[in-house]
Amino acid sequence: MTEPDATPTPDASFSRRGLLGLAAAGGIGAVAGLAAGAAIASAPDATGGTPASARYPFFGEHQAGITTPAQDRLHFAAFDLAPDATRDDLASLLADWTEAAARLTQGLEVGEAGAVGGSPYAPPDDTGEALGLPASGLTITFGFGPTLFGTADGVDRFRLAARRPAALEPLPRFSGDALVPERSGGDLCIQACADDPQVAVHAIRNLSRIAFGRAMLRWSQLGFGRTSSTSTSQTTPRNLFGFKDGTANIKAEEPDAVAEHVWVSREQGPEWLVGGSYLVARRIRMIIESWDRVQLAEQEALFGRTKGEGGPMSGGGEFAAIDLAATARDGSPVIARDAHVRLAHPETNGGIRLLRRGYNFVDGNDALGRLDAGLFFLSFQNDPEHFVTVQRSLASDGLNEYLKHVGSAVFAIPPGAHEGDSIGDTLLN
Amino acid sequence: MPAADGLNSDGTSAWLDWRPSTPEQRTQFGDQLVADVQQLFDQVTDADFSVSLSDISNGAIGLLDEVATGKISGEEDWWSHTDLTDFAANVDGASVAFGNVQKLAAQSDEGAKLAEEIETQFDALERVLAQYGSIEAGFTPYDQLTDAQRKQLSDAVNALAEPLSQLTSTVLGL
Repeated sequence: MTEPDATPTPDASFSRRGLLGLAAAGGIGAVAGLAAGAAIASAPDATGGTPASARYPFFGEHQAGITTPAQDRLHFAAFDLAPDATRDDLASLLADWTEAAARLTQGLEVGEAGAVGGSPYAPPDDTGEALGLPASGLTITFGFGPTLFGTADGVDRFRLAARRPAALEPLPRFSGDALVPERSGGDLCIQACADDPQVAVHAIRNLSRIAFGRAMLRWSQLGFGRTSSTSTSQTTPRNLFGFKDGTANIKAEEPDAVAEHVWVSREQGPEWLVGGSYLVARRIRMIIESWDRVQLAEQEALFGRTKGEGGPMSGGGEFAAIDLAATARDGSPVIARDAHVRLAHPETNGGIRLLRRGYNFVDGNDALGRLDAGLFFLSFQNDPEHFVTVQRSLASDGLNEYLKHVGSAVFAIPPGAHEGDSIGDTLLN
Repeated sequence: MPAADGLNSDGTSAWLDWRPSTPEQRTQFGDQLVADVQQLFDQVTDADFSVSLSDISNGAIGLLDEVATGKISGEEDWWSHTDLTDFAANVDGASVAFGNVQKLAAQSDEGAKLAEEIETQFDALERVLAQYGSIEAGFTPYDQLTDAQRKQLSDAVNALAEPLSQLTSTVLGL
């Protein structure tokens, strides 16, 4: 990583394309109200990803890592505040995290002394594994869990109960839930996304280190392949079922849809959360060994899309509108009643759309020799109830036979911070 | 420390060699242990004995690192489950070492802040440990602690170890 510099300039590893992207970002950064992520997406590479040298501003109206074109890699972490932590500890932690995140996302080391520039008699400031790596499109997104506003037994540790958004409740139980408490919940969360896994891990590792004594890691998840595209500049990726996923996702280039479905509005409130969102995280285990024995025609029927191109079974290419009413000659629906696309479709759910930003994961294998694989589902929406509606609709999803939800969490995502302020200032001040 | 084999033989022989020790071997280990302790005592009470400031602060850091790597996992005393006694002894040792350099560390504003934080975290860790006994009265066998209880201890160790790792640099002012 390069040394701190008041006006970061592209280093030698920046591609020509990256330079163009930065120039575009610099120019558009001044335009208020435009999602920072969308601005830099003007420099996609041939595969629809972003160049390794992409840098997204940390400060802005909204937090980055939501409408930012989904990076290829994820390290997600949930934290609990220490048992004796005070409101001041929470505020100081968020201030320290903000300062660190602002540096890390620009490709800088976590502190000014860095990995090798400090005292030889003290542990290095930065853990060092990202030395020499570019920013790699790193975004760091912070969130607040329901327990921050009051524990399950009603203790208001940080005098925040009165500021709790009414919509921020633990998710209800869904059919097919096999939740593991140690993989669920959390007072705080950090979503670190980057195009280089080492950069994402470096971010979570150093932010965890900053938190010691104030907050401790509760659970964390690595993701290796994005399963959604959040920009029209990106190709649609595939999940571990081998299908294109997120074709109809909300894209950064649809500002009206983003405003309608993703950002918390003034009418919705509370005031401190305006311009923020809600994040739902679900660790969904896929029983892929069984899935792999399912015949192609049945796989496609279960999804409601073709496996190759990803077009709807009602006809047309990947981006063709889905015709849920289409019937076959015998009168049966072309898109089956229990097909995934039907049950997840906005038409089935009163027009609800989620901004999905999930990742594939494989965490080794279980005791039976099956891959511990699946989808780490992440969705942003301006009301968690939207997720609940879609998830309830999916109760009869034919895919459920091959799915098991093992982790679950919901977080309020505060708006972005302006330079000089900290994430969470709107909540705490 | 040279010739300190006896100090560790009781534990390590169980790992390296599954056969139980014979009475003769135990006598031999015991004799060696007494001799090692005597040698240690002679060395530290010798008129020429000296330790540097960094030896002391690094000693405190090292004692806590031992807790974080070996004892918190319960692997060091796999057979006897007396990990918490070792744990508490290390914390005591680290606390004494810290006490010796605390005033020196606190000379600068930043150093005073660090020393205060270390003291707070020592107190917090000692409170968590005290739930399970004391060195005098003995501790709950480590295998009887739940994962959540072990994590609470681990969190307290991390909370102390992080500021403590800055102690040497602060004491030396380098």
